[in-house]
Amino acid sequence: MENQQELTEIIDKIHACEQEIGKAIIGQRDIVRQVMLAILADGNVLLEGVPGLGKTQLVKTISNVLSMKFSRVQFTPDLMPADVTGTNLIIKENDKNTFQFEPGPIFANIVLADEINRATPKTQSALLEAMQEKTVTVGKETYELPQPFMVLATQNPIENEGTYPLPEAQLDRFLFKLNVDFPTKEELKAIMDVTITNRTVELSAVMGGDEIIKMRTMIKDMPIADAVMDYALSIVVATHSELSEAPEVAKKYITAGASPRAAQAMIKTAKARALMEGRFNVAFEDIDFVAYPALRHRIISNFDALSEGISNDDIIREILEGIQPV
Amino acid sequence: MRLQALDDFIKKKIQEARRRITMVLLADYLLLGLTVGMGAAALIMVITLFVPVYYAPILAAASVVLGLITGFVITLVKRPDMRRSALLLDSRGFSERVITAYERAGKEDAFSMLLKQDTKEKMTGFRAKNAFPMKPVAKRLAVFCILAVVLCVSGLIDSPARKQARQNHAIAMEAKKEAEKLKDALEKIEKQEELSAQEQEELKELFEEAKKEFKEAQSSEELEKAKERLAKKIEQEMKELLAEDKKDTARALLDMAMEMNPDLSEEEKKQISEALNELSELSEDVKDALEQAKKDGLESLSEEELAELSAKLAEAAAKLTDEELAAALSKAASAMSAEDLESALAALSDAQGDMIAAALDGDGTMSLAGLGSGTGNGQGAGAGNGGSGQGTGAGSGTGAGDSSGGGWYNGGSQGSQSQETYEGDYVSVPENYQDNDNLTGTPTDGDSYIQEGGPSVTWDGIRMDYQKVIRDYQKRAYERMESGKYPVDYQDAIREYFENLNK
Repeated sequence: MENQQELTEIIDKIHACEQEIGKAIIGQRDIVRQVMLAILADGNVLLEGVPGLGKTQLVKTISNVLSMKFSRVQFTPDLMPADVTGTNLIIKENDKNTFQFEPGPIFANIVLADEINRATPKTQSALLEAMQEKTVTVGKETYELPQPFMVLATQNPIENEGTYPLPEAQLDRFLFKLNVDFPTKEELKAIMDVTITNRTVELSAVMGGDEIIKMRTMIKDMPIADAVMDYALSIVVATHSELSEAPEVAKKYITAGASPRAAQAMIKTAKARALMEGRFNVAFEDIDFVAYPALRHRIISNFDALSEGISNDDIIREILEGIQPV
Repeated sequence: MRLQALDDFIKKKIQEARRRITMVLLADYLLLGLTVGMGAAALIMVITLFVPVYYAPILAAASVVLGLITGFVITLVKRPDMRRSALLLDSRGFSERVITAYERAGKEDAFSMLLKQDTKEKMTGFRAKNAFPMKPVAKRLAVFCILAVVLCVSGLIDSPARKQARQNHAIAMEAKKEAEKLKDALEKIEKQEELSAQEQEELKELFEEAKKEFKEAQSSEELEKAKERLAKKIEQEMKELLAEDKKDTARALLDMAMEMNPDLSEEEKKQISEALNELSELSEDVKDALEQAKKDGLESLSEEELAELSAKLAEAAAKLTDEELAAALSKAASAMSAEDLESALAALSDAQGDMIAAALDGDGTMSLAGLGSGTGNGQGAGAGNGGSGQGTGAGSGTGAGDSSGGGWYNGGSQGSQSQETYEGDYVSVPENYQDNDNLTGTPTDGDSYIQEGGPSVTWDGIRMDYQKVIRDYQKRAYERMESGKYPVDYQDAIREYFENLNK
């Protein structure tokens, strides 16, 4: 019964978080929700959108509301891995020179890797261990990152010159890839009201890192029906064009399908979404909701899709339409 | 306790939904099956407006019933289980709460209990009837109504094809009935010990052929013709059987013929049967005397013997109940007393021939003249000629004779033989069958026929019965038609040819 009370409180806190974030972030409700899902599901997020859409603002707001340590790294071509992870400095102590590890900006709860595709692959890969293992290895030492830890990276889809597209292995480490769209006219007006006036938004911390960790543990116990699980797995399997049961759209446009991490991401985040919706079970609609952000960066479309202007979201939509949950 | 109550509540709701879903499915598939069945039925009824099919209403009804059964079977197959029912229930706005709660039955963890409580709250006031309404698909219902109208209207029209179908059916039924009678007769005949295996086989073939003709009859005329043909064949068989003194089989055939004759009433059949019995018994009495007379010639009989024979016939005639038979016997007695053995035998034979003809043809119009008059002529000629002679070379002549013994009952066969005229190449052999330098070949005991003709003797070839030859030809021709050896365009002409021959 105690757990039931805790669960109810958690749901309330999540809703309070969303409301608090909504004060500073105008519109982008789905993006906010999906970032929250990634946080609750212990995942990293890649935000893609043109500059000025409030990506950095969103990450900052979330860190404020969640009362967690936030750091930002602006990725540039000359950024070195040590600039991210930290390095060993020679420190003179008691007339002796010793090496002392100086943690880099990655040692925070929420790390904003701004314009991640501008850094060289070497620097990008410095994030790999941190994102997956939640550790950083410098020299012979491995350092634990603070918990909860997540990377929120941004990239600009239109400026390709001087950029280094993220390799598939690294993309797969991101739980979600979110496309930040341009706001509507009404939302834009509201943004103007907040940003070009003297009005300031006071944000209060709703919960802390410990509560996030507790939520993550509890969410793992969220029940999911076999039929719902089958549905999620069917979607992932349907992205593999090499399988005989793959739908026509996959065979036509997909070169490589989603990895098992995609299935894990979908189910984990669907559980979180169910809780955010005030339910204690995962529904088909939860799977549908998380399918786009969980799959769009994990499937590699071919030239036919590119030439016909078929996006990964279009492919996912068609796959979802082709699978009947009941 | 609370857990059990929650689990029971959810299970009960799923069962309620399951029952309702089954009902909806049943109604849906029954309507679908009925619509498809009615479509087929309407199609059958419309087609049979132009194509004669007697069983069209039964087929139409069967297709409707089949449609219903199919609908029922599909419902049984598609009837959802509890999990499927829970999922269908969830699709009515429960967001997979029900299936998850159902799968978590017996689990008491925080999530499960909250889920079950939440599910119960959401389902309070839930009515399966509202969630799964029994609304037939409008389009399907419309199609069903249209088909029902088409079916009713097309069923009420009495087209020429339908009339034709009824007629064809009546013919088929009659043919079937006749075939059944043939089967019964065949069983009786198979029991006849007096028949050799070959004879039984021949009769079987005859009946099988007749059954086939009955089945193939397309009109009442064709059926009548087939029956006529059978009657002729039976008549022929009876003649042969009587000639060979196989009266039991002949009687069995006659009984069958009477049975198949629709023109005979039961009373008439009884009368004919009794008359034939009387005649048969009579024949035993006078047979020996007649045999003797025939063998020795009337000249050998004394006046007393002739009178005695005549008296026997008159006495027999007096005992008979059948008037016609009695009259015939009286005539025979008179002829005998007038020393006219020929007329006496003819009169007796006529009596039996009339009976057989009456049995085969209700109005007695079927001609069995050969059986009567033929006997008379043949016997006369045979008795009159005779003697022996010896000549040389081949020649032609008119031969008539009685080569085989037998009573009045085989006279028909002899008569028909006696009327045949043989011309062409044949050799003569002396009566004593001794080797003769003037003749070629050797007389045999088989099918050779020794014919005496005045000063010369002749030996003709193997003789075969005309009807048998035609029957064999017909059988062979029909077999070849079946195997497709004759062009289809000619088959009618061939059939017609044989039918005309049989007339």
